[in-house]
Amino acid sequence: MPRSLKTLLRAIVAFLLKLEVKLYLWRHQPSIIAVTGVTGKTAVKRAIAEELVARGVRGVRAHPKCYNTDIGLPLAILMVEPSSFSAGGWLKVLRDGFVAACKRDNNVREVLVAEYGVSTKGDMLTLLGIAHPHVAVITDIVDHPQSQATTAVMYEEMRLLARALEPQETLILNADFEAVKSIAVVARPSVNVVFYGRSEGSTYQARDVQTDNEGISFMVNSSSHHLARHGEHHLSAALASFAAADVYHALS
Amino acid sequence: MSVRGQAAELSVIKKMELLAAKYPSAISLAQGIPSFDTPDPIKRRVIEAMEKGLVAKYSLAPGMLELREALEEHLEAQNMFYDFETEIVVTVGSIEAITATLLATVGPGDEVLVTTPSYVSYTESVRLTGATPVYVALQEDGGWRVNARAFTEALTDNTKAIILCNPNNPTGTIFTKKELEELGELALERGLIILMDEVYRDFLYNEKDRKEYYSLAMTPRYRDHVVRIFSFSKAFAMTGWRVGYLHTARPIAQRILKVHDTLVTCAPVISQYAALAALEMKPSEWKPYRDEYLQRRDLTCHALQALPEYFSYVQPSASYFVFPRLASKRFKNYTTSHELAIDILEKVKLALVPGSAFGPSGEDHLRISFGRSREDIQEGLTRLSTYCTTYAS
Repeated sequence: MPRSLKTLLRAIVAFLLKLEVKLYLWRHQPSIIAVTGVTGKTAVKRAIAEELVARGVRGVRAHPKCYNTDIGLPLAILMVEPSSFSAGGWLKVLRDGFVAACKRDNNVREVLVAEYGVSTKGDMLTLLGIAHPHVAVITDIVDHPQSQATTAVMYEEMRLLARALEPQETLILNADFEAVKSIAVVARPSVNVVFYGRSEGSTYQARDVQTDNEGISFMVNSSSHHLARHGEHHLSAALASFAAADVYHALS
Repeated sequence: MSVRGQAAELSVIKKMELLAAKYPSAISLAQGIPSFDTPDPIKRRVIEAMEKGLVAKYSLAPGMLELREALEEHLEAQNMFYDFETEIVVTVGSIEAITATLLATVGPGDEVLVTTPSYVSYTESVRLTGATPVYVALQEDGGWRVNARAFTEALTDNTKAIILCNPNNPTGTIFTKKELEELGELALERGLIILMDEVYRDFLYNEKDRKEYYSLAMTPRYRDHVVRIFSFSKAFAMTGWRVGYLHTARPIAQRILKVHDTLVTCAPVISQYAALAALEMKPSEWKPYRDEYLQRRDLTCHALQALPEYFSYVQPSASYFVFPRLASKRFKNYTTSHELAIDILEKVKLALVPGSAFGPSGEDHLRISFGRSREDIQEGLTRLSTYCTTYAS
């Protein structure tokens, strides 16, 4: 198949999926928590979903895969997955997406936790055009050799997200990255800004962090926690999840 | 030539393949190469990455961030908890992972315990570091089991590491949790590193084995002593892509990373994209391959059953090899498995690997790979039968 035709078909699929997402959002009116940054998006998304479920929130939706592009985000929101990448496979995706958009459980207002991936300039605007988040989490801004976007482009894309938030919506920032922390200033004054990390002054600050073969133990605001996982990103993800879950409770 | 250059030899498996290449009509059931092509979803992902211009640059030394993140998640689903940032290193296949680990942890004067029969290249990798490989025999009677007492008896003050292949190549044995934990305790007690080569982990032929499969890397108390190694070569028909990975506790991982960086800078980025796509394959997409290998195993075992006076064997629970014992008295002028393998190649143009390649306990055996196509297996085993009935006695 010529590349130009492939590009055209891709654009058509992306457009139709976007329409289905709009239908889904109009019918379901879900709360949307967006997770973005260079790394750690999947871990944070999963931690937030787990924390919400642990706190008894019903209707939590988080696609297990890291779908986060102009096509991936709709798949994640509609919770559909291509069985193959053939024309038939995509037709099935569009059909399943339409069914998902129309189906509704009237008793529960859903909470969507989704990744917003940026690999080049303009991606954030595209993703915001698909689904506007009520809560946005920024995990980090670091150099990434395989990314098409430079750190400067990533920074601008993240600032775009912060500026797009409406009054009373929430921006959750990893304060351990100066670049991420500095994004707070571009948010509107009425946007709720929350910081997490090890850094002093964070709203959700990890203290007394201990690691051993069993995992990570730490304190947050005088309560103790243990993660049976290894890696600083899991600590960050846990802090982000506490912040997001508290914000969600306050909003609802 | 340097002492280390002289120490390592080309593996017997590769030698057999080179010999077989001289005969245009030869069938090879020697090297463990899957007959399948790399699955389409993997190739598609690689083409996409190439078209986007993502593969031309080096990745970070331990591997692409998104691949390591995906690996962490993949491992977590198997109850192994490792930090993608500091504890997972993407390597150029499993052999680079093994060699880099050995170069980072042992040196001249050290001893490394290697089971026999087991994968040919372990001993050569050990020799390359200047250390000495010390064989520890698996027990053929019980189905090639690990005997912790044999390991204890082989230990000296110079012993620094153990290399274990699970499931084992060439015997297809899956070691039990109890057997492995005995070695884990030994490693704790004596401060040893265990290299767990688990490249055949996806080739388990019954459901019970898949459910009960145990790796020492699942138990937190062994974290500081276990380096687990995996390759995409076998499970995803990607031998030519040369990509694998290792994971271990941070202090060892960081030492290995320095060696890895020195040796290769990073694994090929194009292959890392292939690995990422492989991790995203659904189990249902992999099942037809496993089912096909099961059919091939049964085909191979069935053919050997028809030659009971020449071969006896333990049916492999895993991997894609059968390792039959030779009834040596039935083979005219039999001296060694190596001589026999050469004779089989010359007479009927069938390449097999002599058991002696896998250490002393492998003598008087042959390794037959059923990774090749059914047609090749069928033809190869017909030739083996011809050899037995026409030339052997």
